[in-house]
Amino acid sequence: MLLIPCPWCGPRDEPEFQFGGEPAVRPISANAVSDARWADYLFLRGNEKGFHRIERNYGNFTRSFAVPNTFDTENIAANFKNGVLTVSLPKKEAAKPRTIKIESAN
Amino acid sequence: MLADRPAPTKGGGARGMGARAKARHDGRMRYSAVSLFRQGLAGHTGWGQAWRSPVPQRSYDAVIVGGGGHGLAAAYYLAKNHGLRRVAVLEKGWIGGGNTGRNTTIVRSNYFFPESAAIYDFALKLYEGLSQELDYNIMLSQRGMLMLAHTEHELDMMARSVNAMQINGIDVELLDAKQVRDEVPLLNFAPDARYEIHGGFTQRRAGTARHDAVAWGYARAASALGVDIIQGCEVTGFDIIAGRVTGVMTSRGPIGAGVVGLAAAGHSGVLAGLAGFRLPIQSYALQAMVSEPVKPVLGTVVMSPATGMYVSQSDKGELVFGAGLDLYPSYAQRGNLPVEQAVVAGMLEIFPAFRRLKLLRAWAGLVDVCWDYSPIIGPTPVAGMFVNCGWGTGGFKAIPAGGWMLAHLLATGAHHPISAPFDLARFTTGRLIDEAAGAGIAH
Repeated sequence: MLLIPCPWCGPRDEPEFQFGGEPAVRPISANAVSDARWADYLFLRGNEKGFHRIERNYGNFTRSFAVPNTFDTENIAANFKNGVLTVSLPKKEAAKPRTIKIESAN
Repeated sequence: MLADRPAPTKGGGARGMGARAKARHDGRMRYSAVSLFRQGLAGHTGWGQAWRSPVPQRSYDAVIVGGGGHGLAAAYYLAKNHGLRRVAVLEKGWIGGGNTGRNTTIVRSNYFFPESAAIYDFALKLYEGLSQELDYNIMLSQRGMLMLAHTEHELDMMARSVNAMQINGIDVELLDAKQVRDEVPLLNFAPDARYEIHGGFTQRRAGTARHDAVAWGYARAASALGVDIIQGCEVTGFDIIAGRVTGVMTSRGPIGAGVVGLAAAGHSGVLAGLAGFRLPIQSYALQAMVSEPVKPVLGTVVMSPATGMYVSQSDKGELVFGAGLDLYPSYAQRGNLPVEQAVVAGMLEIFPAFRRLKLLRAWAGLVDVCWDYSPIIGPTPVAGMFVNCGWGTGGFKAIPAGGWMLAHLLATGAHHPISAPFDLARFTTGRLIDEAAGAGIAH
């Protein structure tokens, strides 16, 4: 997960500022890694017992979901690079975490 | 050379056969025509248990997880070939209740690559002597197997496969359309047949065996050699100390183990997960079904890769036929209608005479499919833990060899020469044994 360095409070998770996450396994380059690492990536599977979700596909791809009104819909962006589709959905200012100073009487 | 059934003697070998033959029937009734006659006179009241149901001991030299054919065979060969006595087979359900009880009982060894031919033919040779060896009739019927070619191109490819198999020493013959028709006259040779038959090939030593009898025969013989077969005992975790397995946690308490063998087919991935590593397999449902019983109509096993269908007739008279894999991975041990419909339609195109038969039952097994459709036999990343899995859709035919190889690994810690190419390391080296393309299997 991408961390955004904050000068006041150190690294902060990206989803604090926008909705996001890895939609699929990030591909690796075969030549850049060892044979064992490549075998681990290419062949080995968790093969968990239970339901499997498959969302990788060739050809046209449509995925629809409802966007809650806390999104900054004007600034939604999509980027496809190296097999990974990244859709970034920024949060509205009002939905971002904010610091509330505690006012003390004494 | 193939016909005279040489006893497999490589590796683990057949040491001290005489002593073992005595030990095997220690206090146990020998099954024979005489004992059957005696029991008949006594009203069949004197048959003993075929295998013991012991309470698990605190520890064993070797623990095998999975009481299907492969696990039971491994236990038997551990005791018989390697002299281990403190061996346990842990089965979460009942023995032979997984894929051993859910397949279409076909045995054959017509594989393309030399490595595959070696291991599957080793299994077939052991099958040929198994009824005598186990003193248990596994009802092996070497009725032959016929693979159909529905186009000229398929027949060309088949000729290439047959040549390769013959070089590997497998008794296969290429047949033209007329020879196929002579073998199985019921096939659809009508001029307007949707799947024309251009020829095929046969392996005469292939056939069927009784699936339950294979599990029960190995269980009985292993139990007589002192192996504890513990049913209703699910493995829930492994004791791993400094990278070495020292025992298993089970639903019936912890059990110490010198070495552990995994033979859990479709659930191998679950066990690997418990032990903290991953395997290059995915689990799919593979289904099969039987028709109502009829008089003998089909004297051989017929496989049609193009329609994803294979059929044989059981001794009871039911047509036993099977299908391709489901299109998605799952752990569902049940059939489903779309695949059922496709396979029945395929069979009726090839055997129009079967269209009035009623379907009796359908079921599915959970098969562990490897990327190259070859098994995984060998050590795992955990020391002292060995795996025999990845047989996918063809594990039943390999039971004696899978058991023999796993036993060799558990006893010696090293590969039998036949199992060495099937090591997990092939996925790192890239030396895959790609039978998905080569063997002409139906799925």
